[in-house]
Amino acid sequence: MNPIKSLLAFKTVYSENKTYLVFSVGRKEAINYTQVQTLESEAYREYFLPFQCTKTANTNKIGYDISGLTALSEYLKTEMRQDQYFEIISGIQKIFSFCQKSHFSYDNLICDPKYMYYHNVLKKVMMIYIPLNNQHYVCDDVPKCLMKMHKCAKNLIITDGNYMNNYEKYLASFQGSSKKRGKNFFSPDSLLHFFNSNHMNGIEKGTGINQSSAPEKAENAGFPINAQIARPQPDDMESSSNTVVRLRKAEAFLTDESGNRYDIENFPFSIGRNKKKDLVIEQPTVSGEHAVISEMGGRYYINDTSSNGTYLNDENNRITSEEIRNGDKLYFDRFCYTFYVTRNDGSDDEESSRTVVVARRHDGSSPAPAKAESSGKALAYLTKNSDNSMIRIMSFPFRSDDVAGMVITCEAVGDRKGLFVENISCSSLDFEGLDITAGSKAELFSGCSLIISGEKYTFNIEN
Amino acid sequence: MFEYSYATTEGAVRKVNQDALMIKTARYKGREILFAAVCDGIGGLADGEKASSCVIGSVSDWFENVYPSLLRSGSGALDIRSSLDRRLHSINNDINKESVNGKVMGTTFTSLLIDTYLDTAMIAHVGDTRLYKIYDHTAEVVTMDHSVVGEEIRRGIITEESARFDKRQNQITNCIGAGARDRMYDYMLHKPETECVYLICSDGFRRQITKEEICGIMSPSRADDSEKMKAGLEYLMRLDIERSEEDNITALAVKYSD
Repeated sequence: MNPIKSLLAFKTVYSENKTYLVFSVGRKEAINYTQVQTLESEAYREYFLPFQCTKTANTNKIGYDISGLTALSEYLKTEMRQDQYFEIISGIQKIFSFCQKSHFSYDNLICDPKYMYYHNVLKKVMMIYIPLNNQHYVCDDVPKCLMKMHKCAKNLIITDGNYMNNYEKYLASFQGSSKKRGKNFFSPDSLLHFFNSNHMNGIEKGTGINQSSAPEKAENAGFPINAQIARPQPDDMESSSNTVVRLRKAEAFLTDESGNRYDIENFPFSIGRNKKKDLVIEQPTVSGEHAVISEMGGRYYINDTSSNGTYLNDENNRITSEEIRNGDKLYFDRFCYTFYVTRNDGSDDEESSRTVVVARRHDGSSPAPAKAESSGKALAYLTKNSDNSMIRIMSFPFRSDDVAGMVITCEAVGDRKGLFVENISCSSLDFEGLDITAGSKAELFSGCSLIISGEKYTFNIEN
Repeated sequence: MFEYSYATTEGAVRKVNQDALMIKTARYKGREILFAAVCDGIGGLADGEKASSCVIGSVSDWFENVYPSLLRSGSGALDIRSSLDRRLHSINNDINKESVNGKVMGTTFTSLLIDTYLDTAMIAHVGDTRLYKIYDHTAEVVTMDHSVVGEEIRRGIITEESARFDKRQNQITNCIGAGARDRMYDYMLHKPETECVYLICSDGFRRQITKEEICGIMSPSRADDSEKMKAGLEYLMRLDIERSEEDNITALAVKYSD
């Protein structure tokens, strides 16, 4: 029996708002503790999922923290552009290449899109590395895994058919090859070689898909579309300069017991009774300079400089210098503040049940945001009632072959934006019981129903 | 004829209840009308409470003073929707004026207006409070959550199942107040249904329990009068707290029969 198969019997465990993928191995399947220690250091977080080992009487358990991550098999099903897809493949190549260069055998990686994860915020792939003495385990076939991924990616927007064909040929060249290391065995270098020798349309050679800036570049360059295969993009994507930007007010902030929010806009962020401090606590038991919050490499630290003390998460846990994470409670003497990081950077792992509003704003004076941000976020949806399929509206004015003969426009109404549906040449267009005849229009509202040429849709906007 | 009930609590952890709710009934030309709403306030100590009660107060005033004249002037459902929309936007501006200096003060809002004279059930919605329609063997979430998690489900990034354990449950993308400008609220115009129980609830009510559990307790054949509705809502509320819900919990249920 292939031992890796038994390893793949993962269990999903939910504990304290976190999701873990846990698997157990017998005691004799020795965990390689040297590797465990090495893996705990920061550098490896780049590629591998953080994990914890626990020993019980008969088994060793390894739990991988997958909170907030999306399984690659799921993520690949979403609509994405070809360059974004290859960004992911390139990420995987980097992980294998890293393993090859270091002492981590990639035989210990779990090669199955179901157990590979995409970090939505860091925009990268993370894999499970099993720190076991490797001679017993052989990693699943990498080309097979890439093939599986390729099958998952059903909603690719293909922008360069040739490149895609070459990639498929490249994958096919491994078919039927032995899993044992032979002539035709997959190596990360061969994938890198493929990337270097094939040049995706619209991306400069050399700058390559290995660079994270590639998607933006491609967009600015207009990203040539291969007419035979490509799905048409809304034709006025570039016509407006008015862009919707998701605004996150500050990366980090404190809240007091009443829920008042204090943004941490600079580091070091000082706290004390002294009026010049970034956060002033006017209480006699708080020192003039009580504590300082600092940031280093995306991590946050608190340093106590007071006489009455700073406490972390527990009024008896006095600290001098400690790393702090999202949701940690800080007591400056007896005055409690909660620390939050709104950016999901991996340390953001505790849920706060307090509701926050994630505001988004558009710049410019016109009240009408007319272009979706580059992440491909829909501004609105038309949901077909018969099968719940969604037509995603990425920009206004919106026209589509799916709902031919009508256009949805965004215009200012007083100081607000208003959305209008106009019948250009629809045989019938019904808006909440009103018949919109050809050449006339009506103001829409989010949630309204439209019957377009006999088919019923619900229109919703995403604020 | 309407049967209705509600349950609300500040919960196990919070000291104040920032949720607010109302249920009002009226009669026009012999036909019954019901207006019910739930708000989940956001903000520090008194602020969230202020925002939610301000919205409830104002829409209640709209129902008592504006709605009758709309009916008398022969307005249809679309005019009534526009009128309520204008009212909600004016409250939004008022709350924004109040919440200066970076203070966050806002509220979600979900309401149900069943007008048997116009034969309309109008739902107005903003934020992550929800309206469910509960049938005997199934329940349906009618409103769309204006939240980061809800948005990602719609975009296909995460699944509904994984969203249950997502730690960003508390991030909402739309509300009344909290500095939000130029937003659109959701409205739905349906026919009043007699074979379902309408349930409006705050996120605290539904986070720890499943749709199936709600359906099991609040189905129209089980919760067929006010008393049973009350008992059902209170049972679910206790279940939330047992499963360590920390937030305020509020829910109301309405059943309409000819």
